[in-house]
Amino acid sequence: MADAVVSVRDLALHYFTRRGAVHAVDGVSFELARGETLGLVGESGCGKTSLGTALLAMPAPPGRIVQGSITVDGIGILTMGEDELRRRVRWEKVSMVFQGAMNSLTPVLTVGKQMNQTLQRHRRTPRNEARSLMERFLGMVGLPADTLDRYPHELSGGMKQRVVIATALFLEPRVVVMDEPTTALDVIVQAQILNTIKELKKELDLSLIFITHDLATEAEVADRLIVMYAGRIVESVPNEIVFSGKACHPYTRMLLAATPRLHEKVSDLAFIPGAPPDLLSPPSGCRFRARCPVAFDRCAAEPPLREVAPGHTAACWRCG
Amino acid sequence: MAAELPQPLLSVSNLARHFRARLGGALVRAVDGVSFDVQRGEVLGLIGESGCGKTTTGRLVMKLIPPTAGRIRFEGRDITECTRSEAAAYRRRAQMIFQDPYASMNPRFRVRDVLREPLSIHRVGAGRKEREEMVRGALAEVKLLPTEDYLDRFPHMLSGGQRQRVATARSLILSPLLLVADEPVSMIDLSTRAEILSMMREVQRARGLSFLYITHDVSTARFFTDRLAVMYVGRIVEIGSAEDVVERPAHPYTRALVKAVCEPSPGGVRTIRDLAIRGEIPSPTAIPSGCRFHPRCIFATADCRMLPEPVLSDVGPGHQAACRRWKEI
Repeated sequence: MADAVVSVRDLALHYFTRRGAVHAVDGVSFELARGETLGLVGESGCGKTSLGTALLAMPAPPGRIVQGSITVDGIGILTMGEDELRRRVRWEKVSMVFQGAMNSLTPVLTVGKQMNQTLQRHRRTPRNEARSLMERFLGMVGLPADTLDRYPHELSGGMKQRVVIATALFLEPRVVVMDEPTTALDVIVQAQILNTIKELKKELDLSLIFITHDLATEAEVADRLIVMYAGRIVESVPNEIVFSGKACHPYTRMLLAATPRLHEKVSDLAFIPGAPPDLLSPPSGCRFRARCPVAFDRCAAEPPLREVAPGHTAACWRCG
Repeated sequence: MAAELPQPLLSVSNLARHFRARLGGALVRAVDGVSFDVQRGEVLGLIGESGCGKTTTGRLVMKLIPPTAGRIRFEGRDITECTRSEAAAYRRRAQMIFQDPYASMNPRFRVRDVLREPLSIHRVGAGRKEREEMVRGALAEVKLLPTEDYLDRFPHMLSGGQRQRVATARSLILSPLLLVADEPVSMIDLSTRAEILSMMREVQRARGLSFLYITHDVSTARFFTDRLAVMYVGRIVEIGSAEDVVERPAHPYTRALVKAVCEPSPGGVRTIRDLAIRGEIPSPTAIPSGCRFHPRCIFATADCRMLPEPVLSDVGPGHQAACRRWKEI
């Protein structure tokens, strides 16, 4: 892809625990196009958050990137040292809204003081200039300027999440990774924040990676979905194909079937029996095989991610 | 209408619970006059956003906290104030499933002990052998099979879904008539969530249980419940069949709530949604005068602000809403 802002090749991120290496991300390649919103979905433990942290070259200990490359804007970030990453990549090119970040604002500093700390570490900015920059970005996320003088406990959950989003944006990165940014919020607040994210994307020419377990939310924001299972990408597919029920991988289809619909009364919800495999020793062959209703003998060999239609790839012997 | 219905299993009238805030001493009107019935074998959903009082209502119904005002009747008997032994008898008949399956179980108890505890508290089961039978029966009912695989496990050896199954088994073991479930699946992974809900629905149907299902998730509520009550800042603003409330909402708050839910269908990506609501939820220490929803309502008039608060009134058969303008909007 010529206009890819992020390009990930054969990435592996393992957590080195006392029991052995957990293969959280285990050979993943994809590209994020400029201006695209890429939805990253899958069950807990499928590696979606780990992949997100890899894009800042910042795996949580005891994790380490053991293989592969990541380029952002054409520059390889995995060969950089910590210092250079801090100066040139983190928050400068790629920022992240961490899951639950709204609850990790420090209670003892005003919003303005904590936002300013981030700003000053990256760009020495005179006080009034900093203030107007922060006010501008708070305005963009729909918060009044005096939010800067307030403490986190004075804000609602939705407002705190807006502060976190503003802080991820105000150094104007090219790419923002959002990890479950609306999961802990109430429905109406969630819808309001999704609206804000869509507006910001247009205004700031952002490329987004939107991580969530909730397919219904992805339907609302993602141009394309990457479905992960047990550390691997099993399908990369445009939004309309997934939500018109034409995804190809059985896992993607089962995830969609397990997502409740409001305007459709069903007598039984579908679910995916069983649990994902232990990533200390990933199984051979197709990793979804044990839970797959259409598995057959060929699945003993791992299916590669192949194109099934233009812009649509899947790793399943039954596809294409 | 009401006269035709059999006596409800649970009947709550004008229930209120006010708290004093620890700092400043402001009066928090968490639950502020709530009335509803739950019939035998019926699942009533209590939905609303954080702080609307749905959890407090559940705790009041379970008699975990005393109400400031109002009455609770169970099987026709007033149990609002009752003796300890009456309360103990009530708790055998009404059980609770909590939100967090990690916090609701003693980490030092094996599954067997978790399930045996209610039996010994209520002195149910003649001896060791009978109790063991009951424990195994309850595990089988929530599909933790073969039961021997689970009896000796500690909670940390179970997944979130398995824990919630154990919690359900624990609440069923005393053969209750009513279960109060507060967000029972919100902490469980999506693929398992549907499985747990289906299991609970199956048990509910098989036993003819009544359920008070408390959640912020309108979609699962639609699946799980027969009737829905929508709470807003301490009050029920709309109540009716799950289908009426979701497909034909009358109250502007319910309309906004339903509209805000994301659906897994194509076509949402490029649109900014009109949410038909403004502002944020007010604090339960400063509930707006008149209709408590008026500051956020896009249809509000001076009447909504000045006149006394609208009460629930019929908008259709078995469907009520607390809005004086529902016909015009």
